[in-house]
Amino acid sequence: MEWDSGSDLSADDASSLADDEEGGLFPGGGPIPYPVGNLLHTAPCGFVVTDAVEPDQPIIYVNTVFEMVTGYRAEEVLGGNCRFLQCRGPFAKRRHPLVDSMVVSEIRKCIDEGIEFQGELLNFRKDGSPLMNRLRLTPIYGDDDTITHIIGIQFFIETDIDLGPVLGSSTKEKSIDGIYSALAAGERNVSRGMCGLFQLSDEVVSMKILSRLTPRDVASVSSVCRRLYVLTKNEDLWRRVCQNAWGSETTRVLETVPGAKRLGWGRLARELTTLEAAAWRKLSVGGSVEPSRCNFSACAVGNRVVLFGGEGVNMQPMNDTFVLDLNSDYPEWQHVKVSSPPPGRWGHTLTCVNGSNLVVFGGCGQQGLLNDVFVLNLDAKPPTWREISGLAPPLPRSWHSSCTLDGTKLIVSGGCADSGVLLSDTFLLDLSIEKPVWREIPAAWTPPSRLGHTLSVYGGRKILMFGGLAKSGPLKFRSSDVFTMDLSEEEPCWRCVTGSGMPGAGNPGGVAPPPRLDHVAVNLPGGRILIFGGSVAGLHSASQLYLLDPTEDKPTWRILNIPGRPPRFAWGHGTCVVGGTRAIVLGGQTGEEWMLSELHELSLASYLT
Amino acid sequence: MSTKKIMLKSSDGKMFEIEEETARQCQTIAHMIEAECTDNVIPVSNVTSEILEMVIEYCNKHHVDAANPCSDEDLKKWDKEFMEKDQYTIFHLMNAAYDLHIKSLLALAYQTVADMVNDNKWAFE
Repeated sequence: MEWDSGSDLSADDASSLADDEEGGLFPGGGPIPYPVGNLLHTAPCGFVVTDAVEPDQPIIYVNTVFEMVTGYRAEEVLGGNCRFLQCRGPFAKRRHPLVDSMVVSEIRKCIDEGIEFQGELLNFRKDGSPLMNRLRLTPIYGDDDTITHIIGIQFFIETDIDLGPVLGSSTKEKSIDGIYSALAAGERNVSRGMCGLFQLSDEVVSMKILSRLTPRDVASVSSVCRRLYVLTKNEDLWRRVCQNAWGSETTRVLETVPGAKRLGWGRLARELTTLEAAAWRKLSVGGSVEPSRCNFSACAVGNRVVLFGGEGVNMQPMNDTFVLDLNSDYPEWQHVKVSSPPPGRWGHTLTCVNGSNLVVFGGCGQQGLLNDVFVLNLDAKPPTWREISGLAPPLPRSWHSSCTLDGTKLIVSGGCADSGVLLSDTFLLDLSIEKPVWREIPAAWTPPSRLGHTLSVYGGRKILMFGGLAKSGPLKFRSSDVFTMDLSEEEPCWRCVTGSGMPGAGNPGGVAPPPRLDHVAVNLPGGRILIFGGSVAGLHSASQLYLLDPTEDKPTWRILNIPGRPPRFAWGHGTCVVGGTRAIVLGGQTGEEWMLSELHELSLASYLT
Repeated sequence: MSTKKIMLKSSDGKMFEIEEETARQCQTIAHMIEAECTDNVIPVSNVTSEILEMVIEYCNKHHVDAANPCSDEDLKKWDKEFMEKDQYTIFHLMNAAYDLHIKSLLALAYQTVADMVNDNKWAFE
């Protein structure tokens, strides 16, 4: 460049100087290794801020790059929602069918959950030409942990999708339709012999229709055609299906189980519906529960098994607490020092409420039967037992049954009062309020009084009572009766579902489990109840599993055969269900000696193997 | 209580009278009323008169107040009977509910289709 040697030289000097410097900082003398230049120049990024407090999150700011790339001026778009970019041109009224509805629903989900979104979405310029938008949406939180703004950073990439001509300002843009799929473009006439369902867009079919079906039906639908098969492979869909079928409480518990995520909701739904993966296995754990005891109570808190009290040597009532953390690689029993423990007892119940709180009620103590209530927050530091002086408590009792309703209410039923009198009452204690008050659930008719039965909650607010030692005239017999009560009704009443019937008589309820007491009842997602163990008369094996679906029109008992070696014994007071899918049976070796380092586990899903 | 009436015009040009308060169940129309761009006649250009009539019937029933009392239970029963229609109509109602932004009707239509699948009423032809 001889025509301007002077400036050339100086430029050379400058560049060589720069090279030297760069060479020093970055060996090899290459360009600066971070793409600042790229970011600002070659791939211009659009920048959008929306007000997350206002309804429909209006745009409050767009930068010049946004204006230049999309062709929309700021004044045209401020105050509106961002979704107009999914419509082809300013006259289109709805999202273009080629815009991936799954990505749109993912965006919506992220915004709803307040988490960042990253992904690619087809957008359109004002002139209708397509643009691929590599989008990142970041929620900005205000002082009070609410999202005040959402910042969108957009890398626009040219895309050469053949879309055909823009339909212009005609309002009859039938090909641009949010609810109908691209398949139905221009043919919204459902009566033309094609099934209407197939004309809906993927998002609507998946999130609006299929998500309302039962797990079994979604599974059936998936085998109809390839499109439905692909749609049913969506985890979000399965999560919703599970949530609808099992209730959000159950899905929340399942989410806490390690490995549930790996298995996926679709697989989990299948396994918990068919019980195809259920198996018995043995589990060895470390530590010890000293002094040895029986007639304690066990309960699960998350993935921890908690054991409280029991009958020690020489009928000594115990009041100590042990925890076995099954999340740990080598679970071991640990004695937890809890201050101000309740009086020692056995034959009580231990129930989990409000996440990590345990409630002890009743049982037999040094001075006789009890009707006091103690609560322990296992995660509090330091853990402390706290007595709840619930007004108007039920009669003191032992070997009663309890369960949790709505996650916060303790329900207690039956049991044995002084001098061996059996009880038939049902009480409720709402632990979510400041000063809990016992309330008896009045019922015109109650099942015969009993002890050692089980209470299970299903279908939200229905309770199911099974078995126990029931009063029959002057005698007491083991029972296999099933009673239910719907506590959401204004005047709840007990209903008999299936009974043992007269000996020798045919039972419409199928092969009922032999009558028993102190057995195990496991609630399955969707309302089914699994019964095993307990004290059974005669030669019947206590380890046989029986399944009942109380939501059926005519509930019928079924026998469930599963692989693995079951425990010889399983007692209701020594068994708890962890994470909704694992029944942990303590002391299943013998009837007498309680070996708490050898556990049996009935796992209902395969992710634990 | 205002009993102001507005007119809706279907795609085939038929006019329907509806109380403004009742019409507000349609988000789209509510926005137009608020933006004061109604001019008393609102064109509902992608809903036929046959379907619009049903939509108005639905809105009238669901506009529950002292003059039009209805228990939740009765409303549910009414909804069920209201949706006893053929596929063709249900999908057009769904489309109209989508266009007019009537959340409850849209949910009802979705649920109806889901129930049809559940009850195996559906023929996947």
